[in-house]
Amino acid sequence: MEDIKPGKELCDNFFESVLEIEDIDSSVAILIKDLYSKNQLTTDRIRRALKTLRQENQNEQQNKD
Amino acid sequence: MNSKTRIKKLTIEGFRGAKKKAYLDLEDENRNVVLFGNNGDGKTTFSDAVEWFFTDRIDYLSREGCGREDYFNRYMDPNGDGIVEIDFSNPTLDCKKTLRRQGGLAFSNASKEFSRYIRDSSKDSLILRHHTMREFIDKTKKQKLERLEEIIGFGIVGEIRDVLLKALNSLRGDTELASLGGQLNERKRDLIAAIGKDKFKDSDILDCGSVLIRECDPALSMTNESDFERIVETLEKRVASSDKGKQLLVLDGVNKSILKLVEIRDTLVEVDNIVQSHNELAKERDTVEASATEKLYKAAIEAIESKSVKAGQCPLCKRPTDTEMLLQSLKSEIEQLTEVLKKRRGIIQNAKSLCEKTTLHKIDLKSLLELEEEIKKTLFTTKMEVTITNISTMLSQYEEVLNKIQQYPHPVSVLPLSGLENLEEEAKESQQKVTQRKERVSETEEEKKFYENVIKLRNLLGDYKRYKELIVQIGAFLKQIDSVEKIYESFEKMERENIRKVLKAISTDVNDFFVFLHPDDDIDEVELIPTEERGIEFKLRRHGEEISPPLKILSEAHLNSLGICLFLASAKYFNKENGFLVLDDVVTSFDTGHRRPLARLMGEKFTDAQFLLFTHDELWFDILKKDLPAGKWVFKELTKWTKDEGLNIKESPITLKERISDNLDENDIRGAANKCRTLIEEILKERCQDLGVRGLEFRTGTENDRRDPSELINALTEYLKGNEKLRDKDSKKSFDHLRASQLITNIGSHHQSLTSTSLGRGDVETVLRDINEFENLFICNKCGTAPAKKYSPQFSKLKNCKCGEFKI
Repeated sequence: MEDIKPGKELCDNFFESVLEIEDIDSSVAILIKDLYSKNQLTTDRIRRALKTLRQENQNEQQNKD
Repeated sequence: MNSKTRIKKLTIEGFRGAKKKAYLDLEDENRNVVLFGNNGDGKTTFSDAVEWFFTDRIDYLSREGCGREDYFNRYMDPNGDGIVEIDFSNPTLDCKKTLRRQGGLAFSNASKEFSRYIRDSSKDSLILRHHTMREFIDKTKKQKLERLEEIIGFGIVGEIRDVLLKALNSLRGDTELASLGGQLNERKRDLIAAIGKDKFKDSDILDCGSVLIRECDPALSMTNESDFERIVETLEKRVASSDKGKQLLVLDGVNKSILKLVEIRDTLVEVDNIVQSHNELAKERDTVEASATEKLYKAAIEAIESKSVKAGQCPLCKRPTDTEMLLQSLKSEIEQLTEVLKKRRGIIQNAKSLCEKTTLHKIDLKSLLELEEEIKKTLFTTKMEVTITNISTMLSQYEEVLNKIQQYPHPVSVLPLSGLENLEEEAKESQQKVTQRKERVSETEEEKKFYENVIKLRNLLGDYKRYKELIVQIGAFLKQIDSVEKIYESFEKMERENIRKVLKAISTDVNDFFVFLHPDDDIDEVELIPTEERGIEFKLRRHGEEISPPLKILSEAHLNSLGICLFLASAKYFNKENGFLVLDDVVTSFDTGHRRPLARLMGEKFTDAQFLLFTHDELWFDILKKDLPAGKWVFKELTKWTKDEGLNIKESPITLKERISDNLDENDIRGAANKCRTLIEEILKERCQDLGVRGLEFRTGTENDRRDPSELINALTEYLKGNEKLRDKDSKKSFDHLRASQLITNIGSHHQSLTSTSLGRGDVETVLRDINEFENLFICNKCGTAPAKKYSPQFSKLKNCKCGEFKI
């Protein structure tokens, strides 16, 4: 039989290497990875965290300008 | 499975049907058990106990809305605790789990090893119940995939895929993104109008700016984008340094705000429509209730997840509870409200989007509201002034209402939209006054041209900057969406690949087991395959033809056995911790022909597994006693359950004669008669098989079981006609007695009108004597065996006993 890993292990491995997915925003990948590792990966939390990230980036950009 | 954990002893007290202590003792971990009990005698208490011990819940009870209170025995001391204790093959894992009446639960084993064991065991599929075995087959393709993911411990994979997909869809439909898109279109429109082209590039805006700058002051020139802002700032300062210029800037702001008034009115109309839809929906009690329930449950989930409440306590009623179970139940309840709340969620979404619009409109109105009274009087009629104040009041009030709508499902009231019927005309009139006033402020054409160009430049730069900001904001948003999409797709691909691996692995076994159970059926192959849409389905191959789903051709019993095959295959592959399996009444809907193959499947294909088999089917129990090796299996029975005693287990007599004797001791005459009938049938079948009575040789499956005893006795009589040994008067009498006994036991066991008093103890004792007398006819006095083909030379007419002394 092919090596079949338990679901938790598959998820752990996936998020461990999520940054290796081609052409993605690394800050989004890190954010989702962090939520997963803290066992807080929910739709609402992803949305809220992405919004905060956009605002932070926007503020940072405005400060630069 | 040999190195995996097995059960030695299961003890239950104060739990489900067990009032007092009840034991299921397997004596050693290498033994399997068959527990027989009539319905209601407490078999399921043992499977419930195992399920609760490992998962803190009893799934089928939870689905019916039963909670921990229902786990306690109903007739026990109301302050007593429920206890499930398991002794394992590895004694360091032995543990007593207590369901505390005062709330929570406790494990007596606090070792890390046990904690790890119990955590990892929750992923094993340990129990198959008769009412769940068909569940998988009857599910939709998508549900089958979800169920398989649960079985193989991929539940978390499915959950995370759903979270990522929902997050992706929610980002795509985000009102903020829609609002940014709307604002971008507006800015584009304004820029197109300013430069006088249908389409534009950044350089077009800068070219247009350069032209205006040169017209304002030929000495100024713009070489790059950063110059643009600096030069416009210089020119604005020049304008603001004069009173005329200041006035013109104010008038330009006023003009812009007037232009927005119609748009603001349209937004107010939209809000009014939403309010009406909301108030209509607020009349629907179901929606209001569902909405309130959802809010309550969400608050409870938040309280549990943020650990704001004590573990083991319900945040709503403060009563003791199993937190994990409650959490799952709350989430599932919210899921079920989705349909009722569909309209309400649509309204909330629109309210949110309109709320963002009203906030922006308040900024649009600012320059009108902050205008000096003196200028106001010259630009607006009294009616227009009232209209502007009304619009401003309505905006604030409507914004508040929109927030309320998002929060609560109850009706809301708003000021009616009035006095806005002639807004277009009034706005036009005010615009004309603004233009006239601007005309009056500028004295010379040159001056007029200069101020106009600076205002144009200011607007052009403002729109362009906002346009660029919006592009960046939208770009950042879309980049996030793109990243989440890529993560989702990559995750789904990983999930699909692993599901495919699993399907390939277990299909081989499901097929193997199914063919084992149905050797004479014409199913060539059974396979589990992924479907095009997210899901999986069984595919059968019959005479080269592929059939899917199996419901098309399989009978009820076949579908049940497919359920068992899937459970056994998945347990074989995916149970990492435990080597035992509980099968609770799984053969109830099996036809008799497939029961023995199932017993053999367990014996031959699962030599390493430990089975805890519960049944209420006495015939199946008897078959198992004969087919399963006594050394490896123990047979136990539940006595009749009573509310005072609860359940009780006793050793089950192995032979039918022992069991008839038991029935007689319990004064169960009908039960004894029933077993006598079975015993007669068995003896006759055995004699026919041993002697090779033509046409009645023993066959496997239903054919053998369906034989009528009178058919057997007639065939045996005919076969023995020429046999001198059995032609004497006494032997004939024994045959006649057995015929009579067979008739009596038939009446006693089949005729409902006959009670135990119709058939007395003496009748059954006589039947037993007749049976013994008949059996003795065939037994050698010297070696104690009956003549049989296996002891006799091939083709010999007479059959020998083992020692060869006795021939028939």
